[in-house]
Amino acid sequence: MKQALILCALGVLPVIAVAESREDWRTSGPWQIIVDPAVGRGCLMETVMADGTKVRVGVLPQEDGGYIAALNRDWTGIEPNKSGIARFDFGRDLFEGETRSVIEGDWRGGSAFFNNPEFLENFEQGRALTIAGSGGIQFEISLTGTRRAVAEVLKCQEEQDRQVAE
Amino acid sequence: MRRGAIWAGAVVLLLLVVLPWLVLESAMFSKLRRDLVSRALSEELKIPVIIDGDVSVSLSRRLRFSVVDAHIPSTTMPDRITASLGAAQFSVPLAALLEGRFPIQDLVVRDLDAEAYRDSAGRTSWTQTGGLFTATGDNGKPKSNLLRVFYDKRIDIQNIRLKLINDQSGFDFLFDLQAFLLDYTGSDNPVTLTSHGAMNGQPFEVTGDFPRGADFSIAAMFGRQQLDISGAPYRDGVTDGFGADITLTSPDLQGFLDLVALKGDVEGSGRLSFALDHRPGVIELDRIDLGARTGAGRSLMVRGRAGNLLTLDGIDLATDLRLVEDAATIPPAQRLRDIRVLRVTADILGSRGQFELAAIDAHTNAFDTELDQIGPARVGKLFRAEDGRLELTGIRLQSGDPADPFLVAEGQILDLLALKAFRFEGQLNGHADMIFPDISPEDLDELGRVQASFALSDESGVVALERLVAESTPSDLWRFRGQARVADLTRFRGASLAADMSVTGAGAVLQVLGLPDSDIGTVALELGAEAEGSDITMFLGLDVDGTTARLDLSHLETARKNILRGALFSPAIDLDGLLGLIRSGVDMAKANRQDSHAREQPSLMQDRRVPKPLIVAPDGRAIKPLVVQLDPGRTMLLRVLRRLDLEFGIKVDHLTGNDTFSGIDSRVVMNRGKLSAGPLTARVAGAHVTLGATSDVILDPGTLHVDGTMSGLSLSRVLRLLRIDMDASGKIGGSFGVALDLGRDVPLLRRTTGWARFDMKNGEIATSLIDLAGLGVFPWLFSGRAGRGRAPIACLVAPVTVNNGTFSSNQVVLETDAVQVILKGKINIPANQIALRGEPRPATRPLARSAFPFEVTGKLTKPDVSIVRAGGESREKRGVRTVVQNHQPCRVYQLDPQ
Repeated sequence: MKQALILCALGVLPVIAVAESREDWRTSGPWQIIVDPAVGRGCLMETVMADGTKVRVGVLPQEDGGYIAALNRDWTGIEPNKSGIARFDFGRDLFEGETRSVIEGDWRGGSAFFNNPEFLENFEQGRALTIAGSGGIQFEISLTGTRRAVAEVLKCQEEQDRQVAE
Repeated sequence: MRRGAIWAGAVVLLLLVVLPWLVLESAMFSKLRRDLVSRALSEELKIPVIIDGDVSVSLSRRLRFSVVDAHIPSTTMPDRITASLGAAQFSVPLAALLEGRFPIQDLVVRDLDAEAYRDSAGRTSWTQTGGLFTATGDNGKPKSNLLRVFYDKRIDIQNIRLKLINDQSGFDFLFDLQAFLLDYTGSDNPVTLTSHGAMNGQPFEVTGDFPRGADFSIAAMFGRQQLDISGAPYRDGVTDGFGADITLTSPDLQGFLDLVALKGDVEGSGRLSFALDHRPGVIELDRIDLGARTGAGRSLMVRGRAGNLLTLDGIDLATDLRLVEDAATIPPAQRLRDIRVLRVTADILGSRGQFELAAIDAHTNAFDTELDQIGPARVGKLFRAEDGRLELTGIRLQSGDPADPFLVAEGQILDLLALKAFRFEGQLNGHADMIFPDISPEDLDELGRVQASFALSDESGVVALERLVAESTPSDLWRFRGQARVADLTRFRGASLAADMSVTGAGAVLQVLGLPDSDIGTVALELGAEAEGSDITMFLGLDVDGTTARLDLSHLETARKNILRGALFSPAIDLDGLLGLIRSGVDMAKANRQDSHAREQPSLMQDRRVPKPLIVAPDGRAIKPLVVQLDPGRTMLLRVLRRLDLEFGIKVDHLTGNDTFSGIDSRVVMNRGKLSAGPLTARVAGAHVTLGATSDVILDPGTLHVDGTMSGLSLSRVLRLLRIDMDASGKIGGSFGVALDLGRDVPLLRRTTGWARFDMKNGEIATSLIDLAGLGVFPWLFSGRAGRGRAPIACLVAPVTVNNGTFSSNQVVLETDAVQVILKGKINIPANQIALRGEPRPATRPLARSAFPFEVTGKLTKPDVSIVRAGGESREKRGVRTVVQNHQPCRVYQLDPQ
């Protein structure tokens, strides 16, 4: 089942939709599960960490993959339409991939596409994730409750897929 | 005397002054002057010059001729005039004239109309030899006089209209020149050429230097197109001709098309350069380098050489046509209509006017293909039509063995630049070795060929396969006929296909192919299909010995779904024959696969495995990528499965050749990856089994859930299977629900988990041991059952769980008319182990202490049965004498908990 997130998707970089078009689905611990019509009714999980960093992980139903995005109001140095490299350290495994800058009102940050099932496994099973970008930003997020939240995202996505197909 | 002298003087004066004046200028001698000058010019220029107006001559160190209204008629076409001029002046040195020569110098012309005309048959209005541009050499062969004409003349022409009309190629060039000046200032100085005006309505300007025997250069601008020529005549005294480097730069390809009056719609730029070697009978182009790029991101590169342009010999051009700017940005095609050609590379080889396309690589966004050599090809005519289209007609193309080509096609493209208005008709001639590469030549003859004719055109406005008719050549072994048409090939609309094939001696065909023989007799196949884009309906009819079947399929594509409906109907299928046919098909496929495997050179760069990183993090961990390359085949399959909405019915009235299925009336349904199939009624081990199956082929493709019911399983057969040698009667029924793990490579039973429930009523078993064990020795002896040697079975209820080959139960109840036996334990079939405990009791006193509780342990095939003396459960301690009123057979009684 955990591969469903990977298998549900395709493409290169996510287009992050503006917040008002999203629909709340339900919550799972600190994570809000949301449906994003802008990416073909893809489900995502989102939370704001204690340090003010908004973290979002979502499905891209039209793509063969998903995305992870992190935004913070303090990251004012991030410019639009920039690409870079980021590393994702789960302690057990280390990942690296391309990122693209994202600006949503006051929020600035980056987003990375993934389709490696191991990344999602780490995200579900890990305790903490340290993210470092080529722009010099480094921060750690807690992965408490991610296993349940990812399961909810998959459930949400299955529901959306069913609606889309019908 | 003095008077005579005066007269004599007058006569001399008349002879010396007046007479020459009269001859040179007076109207009286006008005709004489015209004839003399006309003849002299005709001899000098080697073409007839006719003077219609007057000629006057002024005398100095040179004679200066003034001619009004002259023309040069065509010597080959009497109704055409090669040139006409309004007025001309030129000089001839007196000394040369006295020597009988008439070399023209310092030519000044006003209002010149010139025309060079070639008719559609190739005849020209000018002579091919002699004249201004070509001269006859000492050896009688033509030699180039093209440059010689520029070396020793000063020519000043104003108001020129030069028409080059070629009805053979369709290209017309109209030069409207305000001035043309060829300036010759002495034998050591270069002749300079300057001219300006318009060509085909576009501004035209040319400058050039022609030093005698030295390097020359020409720079011309045609609108925005720039032509640079720098060259030199051959000075070795042997070769007659010149070599030149020529570069044509076009910053505006549309402007170039306008210049040559061709209809086209192209934005872009291009550059062509080559080294020209011009000798009598030879125009050789070397170092050809053409690069053109359009605004739409398409590009064409051509590099190579042409040994002789006149005979089209020695052509060797490497072409690279890119149809998209960046192929990496084009997504892989998911549907037929999404397939786009991205890039084509080919080597064009030409010899004696025939072309071959060798080493063709075509890259699309769905597949890459390396075509076998196409060619030789011949082009009849390249022609510019009156409306500006560039036509290519008389194309003849073939492919395959030159002596026995696989493809021969003839056709034309009436708008070459737009690749439109084309028609090709041809024949295909296929051999069996196209399908079976290793077949021997003798066997090849036996199987014959498939010949087809086709017509491909876009006359309807879209590319259409108007006709494809194929038929096998007469053979005793098989026959094939088929026809197809597609109204719109690019969108696959309006397609229809009909084919029928019969193999008279399928076994013999297999022998010919070197495959295992089979008993298959005549096989007949019939196929029909209609397609409108992705919406397809088709049927397939099959007639093998004893088997007739018809398969109907329809496919409808909507925005979100691919709806596939199908039905297989057969009044009778002989499974043996069908399996034989399938085996033959598999053998053929294997033979082909082995062959293709043998030929393939696997490329490491195309290996789908995820490579491990060369670079690892400083702490030694490998850095894993966020994005991995997914198996494109699986990705494509998942896309297809997600969209697929399938309903498929199967109805086979009589299925012979097997003991399991007598007929099938079943459906397969799949929607969003959820597959369900059933019911399937089968006869297994004498029992009737009705099955249904479901699977989630996207999320859990490795698991097949099977549930169903069973009836009529003979108890005696079960005992025989358990190797219990005992007569019995009664039929067992039941239901089950199991999941099969399809991914593991172990026997089916070990991949099965789930449940089953068996029950039976009114049977009999040929032993009274059950009654003995339940009643105890004395009650049994006095019950009258001791001598029966059998026991009727009132009921059996056996709920069982199945886990990878182990059947286990907590409560199997078997009841005779006197005894209830409760069994618990497990049977592990893969491990051949049994561990059962049974507690028989009187049926009317089910709470009584069991007289002979027993255990069956050890190997399933050779179990140990033992009586457990100390047996008994807690209920027995408190309910020894309890008699149950209105006992329900197979009901298990429990005491209420204390």
